[in-house]
Amino acid sequence: MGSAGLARLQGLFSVYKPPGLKWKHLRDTVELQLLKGLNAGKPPAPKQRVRFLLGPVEGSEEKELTLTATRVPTLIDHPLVRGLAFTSLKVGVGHRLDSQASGVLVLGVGHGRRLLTDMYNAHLTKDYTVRGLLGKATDDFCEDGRLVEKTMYDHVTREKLDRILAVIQGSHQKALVTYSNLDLQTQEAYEMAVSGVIRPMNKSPMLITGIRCLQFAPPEFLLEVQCMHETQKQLRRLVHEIGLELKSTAVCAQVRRTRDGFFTLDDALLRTQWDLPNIQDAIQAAAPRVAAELEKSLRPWLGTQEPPGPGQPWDSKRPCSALGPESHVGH
Amino acid sequence: MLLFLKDLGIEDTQLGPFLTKNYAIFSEDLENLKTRVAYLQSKNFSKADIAQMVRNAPFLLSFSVERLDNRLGFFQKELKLSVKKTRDLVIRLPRLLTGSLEPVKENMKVFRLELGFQQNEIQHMITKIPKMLTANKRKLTETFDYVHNVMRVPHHVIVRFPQVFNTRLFKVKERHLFLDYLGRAQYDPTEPNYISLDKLVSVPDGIFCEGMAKASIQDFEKFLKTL
Repeated sequence: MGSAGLARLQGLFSVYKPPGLKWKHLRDTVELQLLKGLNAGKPPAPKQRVRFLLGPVEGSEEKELTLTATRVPTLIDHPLVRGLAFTSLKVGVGHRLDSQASGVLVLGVGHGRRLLTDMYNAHLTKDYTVRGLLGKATDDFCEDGRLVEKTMYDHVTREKLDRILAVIQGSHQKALVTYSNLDLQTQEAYEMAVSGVIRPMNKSPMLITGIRCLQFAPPEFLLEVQCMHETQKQLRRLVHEIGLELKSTAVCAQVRRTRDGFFTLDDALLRTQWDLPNIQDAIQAAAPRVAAELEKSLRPWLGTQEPPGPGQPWDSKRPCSALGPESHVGH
Repeated sequence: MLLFLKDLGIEDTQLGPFLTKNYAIFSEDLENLKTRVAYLQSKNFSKADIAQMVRNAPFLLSFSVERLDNRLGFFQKELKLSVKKTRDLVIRLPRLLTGSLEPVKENMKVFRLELGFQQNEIQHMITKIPKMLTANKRKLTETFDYVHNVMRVPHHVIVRFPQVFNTRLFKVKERHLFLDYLGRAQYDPTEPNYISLDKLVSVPDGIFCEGMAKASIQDFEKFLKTL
């Protein structure tokens, strides 16, 4: 029972990290819950062995004890003798989230940890919703940091914000092309640039592939950011810089990851669902999509670009498109 | 020795965990152990009570009579409870007698000075939830800070329902934010549509969603994913 459960427990699944919880604690909690579930299964029937025991023999006249052969269960595999069957599980974490941020966090169990490195090398984009608050500036760009200055924000309008966001997106677009190390003179590179598939496939600073404002109700505003190679601190710094550009100041109230590659909020498991059967189901459900996406990203990019999969409808950004070693061939 | 423990009322299956924790009991004199049990009986602890206490706190019998006496006296003086109430407290949480007294003193100071509870309020809360005496100081202050300042629950309502100090803070936060979002965060007993604190923390998710928030569990989960 235990080993069958372990066999179904190899792969990737995503978890919703609540704010205020460190990712390490989360990983340890998930590991403990999985171990609890695995150890709770019924142990296999104990092996029997034949022992010669002294005992009174029925049906004979003499009352003395004689050796008789009896089957006795061996205690060598008993949990009280050997200890629990499973004492540790290897659980790996994908792109980390710091303690204040919340959202989708990808975890890999057993052989799935290998897929984590593959996912990292596929360099897929991630979606964040970032909530900002105008009028304050703090030293760590968070709402509860040490206050540095307070400003007025009555002059800030939606158009100014949209203009600044467009400028940011434009500058990052240029950076995308430079960091992807593509030779723009080739036909394939031109086609890729036209369809908006260019991404850097190696280390690069934080790059924003798309940013837009969802809600604007001063002093609060909500941004949706699609980016790669980011840290949450850089996103908060981005909010701070947007505030500076608007001739006011802003702090970041909430950073929430809504999508990590191909894991969305719908697949993420909540705290109440961190136990063995739910995680096994999540791994089974995610396995075909994971295999398909990773195979697409490792396959060399063909000349004719087929229509990409479920992409975002705005800004023609395709987060999960194929981008093979073409970019490396380019330089 | 084992027969003596069995006489006290510890079952065969419970002997294993007991001896794992307190194997040093084998080096104690049988006479000393008998005196200690006699002392406890003289303080009007019934046989079943003593068995339960020894089961929960295996080190109880390794303490000398005067040490036990000091401890019981300390609790009686500090908490100013009657003899019967102290007895009930110790039966429920025998760890109080075996653990050190410093954290208990610190927690008493925290209750009085930082959280601002009166002596009778502290007594009431501790008789309901003895665990508060040994709880972590920082967690107590965090929970109280959230419940009092963010949820704006006054002192006397907290005293009536001390279970909030026994639950995890994130649970309280999540449920309160959900109720706030729905506009049903009403903890004042005089207002209509009032939600009692103990039901807020102790009911499982299903009953909480149906009964108090009047929403489905899927809504609660969707809300949790927006936090």
